[in-house]
Amino acid sequence: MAESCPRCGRADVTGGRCPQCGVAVALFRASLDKLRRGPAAPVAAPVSAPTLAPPTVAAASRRLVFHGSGPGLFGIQALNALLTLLTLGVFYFWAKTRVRRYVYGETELDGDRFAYHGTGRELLGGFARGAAVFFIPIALCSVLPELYQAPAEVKAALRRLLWLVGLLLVPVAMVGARRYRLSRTSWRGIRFSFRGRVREFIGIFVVGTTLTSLTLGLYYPVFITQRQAFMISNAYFGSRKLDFDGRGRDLMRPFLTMILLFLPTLGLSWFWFSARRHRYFTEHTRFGLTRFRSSVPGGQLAWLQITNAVAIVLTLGLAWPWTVVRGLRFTFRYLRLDGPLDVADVHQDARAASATGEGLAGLLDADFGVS
Amino acid sequence: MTAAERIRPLTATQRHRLGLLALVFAAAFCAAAALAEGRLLFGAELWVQQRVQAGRSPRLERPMRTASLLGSGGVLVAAAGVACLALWRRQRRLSLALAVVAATGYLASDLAKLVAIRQRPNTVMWAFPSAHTFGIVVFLGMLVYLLWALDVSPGRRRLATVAGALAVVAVAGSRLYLNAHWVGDVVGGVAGGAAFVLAGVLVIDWRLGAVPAGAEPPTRRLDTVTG
Repeated sequence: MAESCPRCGRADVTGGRCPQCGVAVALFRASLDKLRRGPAAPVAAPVSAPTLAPPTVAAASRRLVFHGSGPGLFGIQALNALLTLLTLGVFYFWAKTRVRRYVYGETELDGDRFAYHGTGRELLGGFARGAAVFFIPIALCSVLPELYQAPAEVKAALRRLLWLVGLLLVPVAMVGARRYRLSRTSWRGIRFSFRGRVREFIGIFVVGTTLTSLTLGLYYPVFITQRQAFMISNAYFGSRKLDFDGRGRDLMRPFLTMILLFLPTLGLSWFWFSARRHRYFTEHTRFGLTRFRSSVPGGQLAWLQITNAVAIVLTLGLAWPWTVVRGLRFTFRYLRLDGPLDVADVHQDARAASATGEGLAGLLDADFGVS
Repeated sequence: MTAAERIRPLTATQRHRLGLLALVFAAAFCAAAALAEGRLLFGAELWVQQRVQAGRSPRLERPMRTASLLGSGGVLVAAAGVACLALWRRQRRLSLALAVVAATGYLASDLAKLVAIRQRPNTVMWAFPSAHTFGIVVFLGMLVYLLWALDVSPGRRRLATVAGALAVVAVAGSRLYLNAHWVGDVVGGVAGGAAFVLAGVLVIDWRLGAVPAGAEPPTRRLDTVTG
């Protein structure tokens, strides 16, 4: 059957080789496909670029695979530590980027690796801006009243204001960090993005925190589910969004059981709740027709986290790379993607994102626990 | 060290030149690593990759895979082993030195991967530098030095140098052709390997090439040595 040459465009190519330019059509197409799968060039957002090919539509179950190793990550960390010391801490931002590049680059789905495109310079800029956002309110609300010897009532009011500002900064940092990290992540050359609005999340966060406090923690399952719903359902892979259909009340019974068993089990019931929460969040996440599944068992999770903590303490932190690799392998072992992964109509739709939220998140030392 | 085990020493001028050259290559390696880590020339690298991949042809697949195999760890270790055995009866210390350089070169090419963290064009990790290119440069560089140190005739040395350079180009080109590396990785491999082998030569010369006071300098040619 005649086809057109993908190189020179000649229409009547038969026998697999173009008579005009001599290219082997199948091989040329295969190499173009490989090119498409390479790490994408830095994006100017928003852009519309390649559509993924070939489509992956078989309705098989897929798994994420982590190819990294403890010694590999340890080597990176050792060099990072040395360079961070030599540069009096400035290299820290590049070090963070190198670890992320390694972790993302060693994670494979359906035969292709993820890629992280962030840079140390972006993180440094984000940190500087985040520091300004973080320290200016502190300076205004705590240092200035002392300098000008303000009355005690004013100082107390400013302290409350500072607490409120802190409460507002956390959701801002969470959304900013999420936006930055997803915008710098790609798979098959297609970028992820996050399009949630900060104002909406501030509402969820402030209401959730307040109600969790007022109900002595009982509102917590609803709060974390709303948080997860916001973070997942505003995430996009290229032009297609992810969906989350979980409801907070579904986690209420496991949460209450955990609280009841907390003291008798010396706190171990928390791990079973964590595993239940992880399974629930994963199983209510969808990407098109693909549904995520997780079968993380509570006992295994408890063993993993306790032994990781012990290893870190006993080795004074040197075992950190191995704990990271163990954790990722553990998560991926119990995670699968069911249903057809139809990405044929997904196209590049990257969004710009600054690293300010990421810098702020670093300053607030907030690990948000949002997968 | 017996007179027979002594090797042709470098002159002071040669030592200085080689030292300077090693520094230049080390600086080139660092520069290539910084460019790779910061993706500063990524546009140009992508351009080269696209051109190379667009030129792929079935006729070139097997030759390229064979060329790539030349720079693989297994082949280089085996070749270094054979070279060590061949040298063992004539120059034990030099044979051991070759083994040490080969082993540390293998280790160095792995450790050098920690300098820049980036993915290959096919998205697999550990792109920079190309260990195949690093390894072949170290091995062939050592071979050229051995021929010089053992006083092989200039004609043969020139032939070996040209063949070695062609082999390096073939291995480097094959890594680009097979979509295993960006061009910066290959340049980093050549620079890193050259810096490493030059440093190795200087160390070997310092340890084995020095002429003790009162001893006669080695003048015998390899092709006249019978045992």
